[in-house]
Amino acid sequence: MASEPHQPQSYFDKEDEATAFTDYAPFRYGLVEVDSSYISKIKVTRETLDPILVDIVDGGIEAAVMEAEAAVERTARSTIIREQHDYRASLNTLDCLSVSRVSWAATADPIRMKFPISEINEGDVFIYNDVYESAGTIGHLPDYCVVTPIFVQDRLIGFAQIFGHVSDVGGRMAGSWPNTSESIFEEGTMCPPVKLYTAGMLNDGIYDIILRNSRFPEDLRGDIDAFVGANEIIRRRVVELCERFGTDEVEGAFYEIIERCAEVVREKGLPFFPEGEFIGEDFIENDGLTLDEPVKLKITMRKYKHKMVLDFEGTSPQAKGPINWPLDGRHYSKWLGAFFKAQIPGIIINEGVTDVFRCRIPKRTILSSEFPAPVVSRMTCMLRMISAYTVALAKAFDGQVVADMQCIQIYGLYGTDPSGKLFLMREIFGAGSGARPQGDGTDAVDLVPYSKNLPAEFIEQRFPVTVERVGLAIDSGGPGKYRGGLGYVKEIRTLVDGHYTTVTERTAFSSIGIKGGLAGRPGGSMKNPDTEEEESVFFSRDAVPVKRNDLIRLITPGGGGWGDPLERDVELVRLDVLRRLVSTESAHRDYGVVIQADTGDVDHKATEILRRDFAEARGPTKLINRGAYAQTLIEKGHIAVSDPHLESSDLANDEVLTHYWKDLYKYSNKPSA
Amino acid sequence: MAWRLAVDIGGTFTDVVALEEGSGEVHLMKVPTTPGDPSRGFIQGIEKITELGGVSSSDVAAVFHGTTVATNAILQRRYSKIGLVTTIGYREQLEVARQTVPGEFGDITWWVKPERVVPLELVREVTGRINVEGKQLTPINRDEVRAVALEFRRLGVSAIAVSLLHSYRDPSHERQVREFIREVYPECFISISSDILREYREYERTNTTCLNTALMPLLSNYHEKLSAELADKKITAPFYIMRSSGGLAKAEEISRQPITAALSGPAAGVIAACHFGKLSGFEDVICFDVGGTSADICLVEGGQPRMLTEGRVDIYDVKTPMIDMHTVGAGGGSIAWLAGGRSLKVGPESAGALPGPACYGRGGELPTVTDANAVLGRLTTALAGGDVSLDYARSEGAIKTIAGPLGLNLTDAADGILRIAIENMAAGIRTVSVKRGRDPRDYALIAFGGAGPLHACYLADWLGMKKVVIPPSPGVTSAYGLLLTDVRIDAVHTAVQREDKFSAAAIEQHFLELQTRVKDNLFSEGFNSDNIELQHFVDMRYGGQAYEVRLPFLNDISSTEDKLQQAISDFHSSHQDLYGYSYEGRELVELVNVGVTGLGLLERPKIRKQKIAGKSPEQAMRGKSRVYFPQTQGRVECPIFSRELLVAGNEIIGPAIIEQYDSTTVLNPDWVARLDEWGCLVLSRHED
Repeated sequence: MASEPHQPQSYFDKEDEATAFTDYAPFRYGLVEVDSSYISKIKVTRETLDPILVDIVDGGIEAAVMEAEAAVERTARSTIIREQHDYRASLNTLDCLSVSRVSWAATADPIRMKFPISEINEGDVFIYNDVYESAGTIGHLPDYCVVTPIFVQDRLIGFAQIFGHVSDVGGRMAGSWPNTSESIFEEGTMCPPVKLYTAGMLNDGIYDIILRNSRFPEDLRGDIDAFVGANEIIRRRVVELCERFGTDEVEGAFYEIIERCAEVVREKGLPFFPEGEFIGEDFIENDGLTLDEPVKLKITMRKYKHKMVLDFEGTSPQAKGPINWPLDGRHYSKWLGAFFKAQIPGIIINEGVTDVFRCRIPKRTILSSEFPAPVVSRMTCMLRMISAYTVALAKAFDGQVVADMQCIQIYGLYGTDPSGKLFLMREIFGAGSGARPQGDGTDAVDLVPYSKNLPAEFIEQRFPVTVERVGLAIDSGGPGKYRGGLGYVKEIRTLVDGHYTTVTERTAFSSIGIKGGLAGRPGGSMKNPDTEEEESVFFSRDAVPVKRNDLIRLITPGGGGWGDPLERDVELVRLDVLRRLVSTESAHRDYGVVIQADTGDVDHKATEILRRDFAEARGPTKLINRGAYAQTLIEKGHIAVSDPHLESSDLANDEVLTHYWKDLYKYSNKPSA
Repeated sequence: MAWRLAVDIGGTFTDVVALEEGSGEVHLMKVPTTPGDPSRGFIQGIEKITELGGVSSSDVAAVFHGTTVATNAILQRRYSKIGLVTTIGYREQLEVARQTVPGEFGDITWWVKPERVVPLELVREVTGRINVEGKQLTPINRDEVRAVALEFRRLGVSAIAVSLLHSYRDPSHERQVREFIREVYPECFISISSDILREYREYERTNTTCLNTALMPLLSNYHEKLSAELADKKITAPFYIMRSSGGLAKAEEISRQPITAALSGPAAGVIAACHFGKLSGFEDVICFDVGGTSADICLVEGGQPRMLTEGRVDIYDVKTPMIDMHTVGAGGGSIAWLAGGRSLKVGPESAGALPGPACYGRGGELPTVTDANAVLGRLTTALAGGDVSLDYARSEGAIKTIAGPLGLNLTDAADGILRIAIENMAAGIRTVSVKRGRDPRDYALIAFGGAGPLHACYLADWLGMKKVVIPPSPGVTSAYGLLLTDVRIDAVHTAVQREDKFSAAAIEQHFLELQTRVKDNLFSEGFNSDNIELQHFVDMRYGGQAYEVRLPFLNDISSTEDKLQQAISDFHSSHQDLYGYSYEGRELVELVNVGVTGLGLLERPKIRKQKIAGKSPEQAMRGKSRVYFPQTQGRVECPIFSRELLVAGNEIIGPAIIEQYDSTTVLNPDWVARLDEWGCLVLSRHED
């Protein structure tokens, strides 16, 4: 057991960042030497830079990045990249700062750290997926990252970079995603930063090794070639900008664009936030190995006048299972900082956001794990970080925030197809989004922009299954004045024996309801529902066995509700019932609305009485509602939250634990495929 | 005498062109659009143009129409109440769609899903399943379908969409459902997905079919009304509508497939631009059609625009053949604004025609691209022959709201707005050219639409393009395009098979079926074997890719095997050309779709040539203006010419402004404009 993180220091102590966080993990893992004469030259250029030119360069870079991403979509092979958009292109400065929009974009730091400038030449293309050699820029091995240096007249001015989630990089499991790994060595092959191309010449040997270590080498080659080609697009566009406007000017514009982001977030974003300290926490269901032990992610948000710091003190220590996410504070800041976009339309959030908005991570937590800790399910941290942030924001803004959601989960089915070949059908599923302070959440949507599900008519062409249902999970949206979005349901009948794998969250915990809104219903999967063999499966699993003709029902969680469900417009409840998105029972129980069984009309008088009775019996609503599983765990002392008085606890109930914990380890052996 | 009449309905004006087939005599007319009932503007236009040209109803050979009725109904969500019949298990497919949120990371928190074309309470599931191989697993139940049809009738549903799983493999179930519905509800409009889009991917097929169905009652009524009005005027000539593909179809056909006409107007513009480009000697051109809110851009090679198999119509993904046009939110009315109070952006929000740019004085107060042009002296006193007079003071006031916070003077702020608008347009042109490995400098820019000629020279300078063509009447170019194309029918069939498992016999069979279908269709429209042209194509990809490349499948006497081999080799080289790499010799190719395009060829009208006169444009000069150009670093005096007074052969040396009724052309310094024998202004760079 790692030692308990030290006691929080006072609010004012933290104001001096330079000294207050010395015992934390470094804010930036990348140690890129910056030449001071270079910086002063940039400074001089910026003083006389035409502001309109900066806007044009800004637009040119965004267009180049989008163009590159479109090229990847059209040519990549792995479904996770081409249909589900798990990839990102970006442009970095010479010292590896992100100029283009961020969120989960990596940077070129590991290239600069490993190769002196004299060894970086025109025509070189670098490749890596090695998490712990990536200077905190890449989160798990399936993310292959390709970096192309950009030269203008023999001078290196920056890097084009693309990374994306490929189908398979070897390791213990098909698809390289073992939920039960205890070391990164189980998760696939590591490629440290190396040159895939040297001065335009492909290093066949390296490529052969990379491809040989994948179960689906053709997919991998298609993906990497797509990345290399798309980087070339960014490189060409930047060179063209330099030819038109001058290299010094364009380089100066890079830094001006970064500085602008910082200024705009400081001036237009931060003033929204009240000053003070707000704590939010959320829980990962487990680390993949010890299934009844939730893992905590905790954020203390400290807002100062010109800066905001998110301190992750109190976050669980590095986990034994693969839920760790070993980036650095700088990349976490860019991940969460991308949310400022919602408040400042049209602005590009890039490296500049880290000047005014910083995540500080204590050492050896799940967010600062050390080699060779397993990491493949780092997505759980990504999503729970957003949830914990949502809770902190709810406290800061008295509930005027969008409720919680869990809009990415992955299901896969693998086995041998009738022709004797290994197949892996894997799909990323969206879920219901959180309700908003002014409207309902959205049904069945994916967090990643432009991510697409797989058409049934495509799945049935490729894989030995039939898709029997594509729809929504009734009653899954968290009830509220505004309802959470509904989860997604897909029913698949397998035509061969095999196994299915799940990478899921919110199968026992719920998406959190806000300001009186109730929690969304958890997701999960079932084998042969509505038959005698019906069996429910919770949590992430590597290998749930299925036989030919078994039906698998996959359900994703609903979004959290917002506001008091007894205040929901009765007509909206009636429509939801008519559309079979909400059952008559839920309309009665959760919304206090009486629907007449024969006509489908609302009994207004009975509704009025019922709503009044419910309101009296219930008392005032709470700010935060985490659903039955979390409430029970809190009541039993398994987990703790910082402001229990703000949290609803009326659903705590022993049966909940029995439900989720019976047969807990039935499918938890460590398989390989 | 044989007159062709063309009517293109735009947001503000309905443009009408009459052209006499033998002599090439042309008349133009603009009448106000009547948004409440566009058919009134249509008929007024027909009345006025026949009067103007002295055209008697018996001399009308054909009537052509570019319609925005379908587009506007989609934009305004004015759908008929329709029902959807689908396979068990797929009731909620329109709700789930592709689970996609557009935009950027974090947008999921506020994005609202577009309203579904069919609300969930009007979706019904029916028994019956065909598997991926086209085998029936469960039959359709006649009683069940009839009960659904009767229920829909009771609910006031006037049109029914039918979309069943794997109907692209075998449409028999959908056809049965249609038949059983008709038995009890014969007057209902019905559209089945295998007729609209016989391709795999159930959501896209279903949604396209639903949109189509929703438009059927509206379009059908509209066409009936127009046909009746034409009959009233004793005009009995064939009545054609432009499709998004740039081909024509009889109005009755469009009534069945209205979704294929969703981008009718812009397609006609491209056809016209190709035509004028060819006349002036340019086959490789980039069409640049700029109106109030957007610029529609299209790359044309060898006189032919590229075709797409799918695209967006407003918020919907629609899979029907359409001309590959790229639209950017940069038009005359595009609004300049400051993101984060700091970064200057232009568009995509537009002031449109109402309230319009500030200088129109119709209540618009925000600075637009037109205001920037006005402040820089690039527009003169009035537009549309005096219908709109420009108030410069209002433009200046609007631009000041941007200039202040940026610390710029008025001219620099206006120039900044214009530069960013030009940059947005240039990005659009790069999207259709550089992005596909084409260098825009190898193409001529054909600029039309009210605001195209205003920005053409600036844009050409920006991109290093050497030639610009401005058609005779830039504002009515789209209407003109209606007269210059053929009847077109596209038929596609999904038949996925890998290179090593190709069945030439099966492919031949598919082609035969498609060909018969297309031909029968054209025969029924009055064409015969002499004036029908068939083009065969296949869509291919590498196994595992999500997108296909469309390739011609030669329609000659060589064996199907040989043609397949040719298509595979074309695929590898196209892939190399489009994406920079290919796997020739390393990976197998997958054939996804086979298809046939049928053209019913219409005779091209003759175009009148003008006699070449002297170079001097003196007779057309009507004043001077002080205009700002970035390369002159200040305002310079330039002459204003009236285009109506120019004659073929006249040459104008830039800088200059050339005014005409429906547009203004700005000629930059270092450019020369020459009016050619076809009435096109051809702009060239001085040094070239």
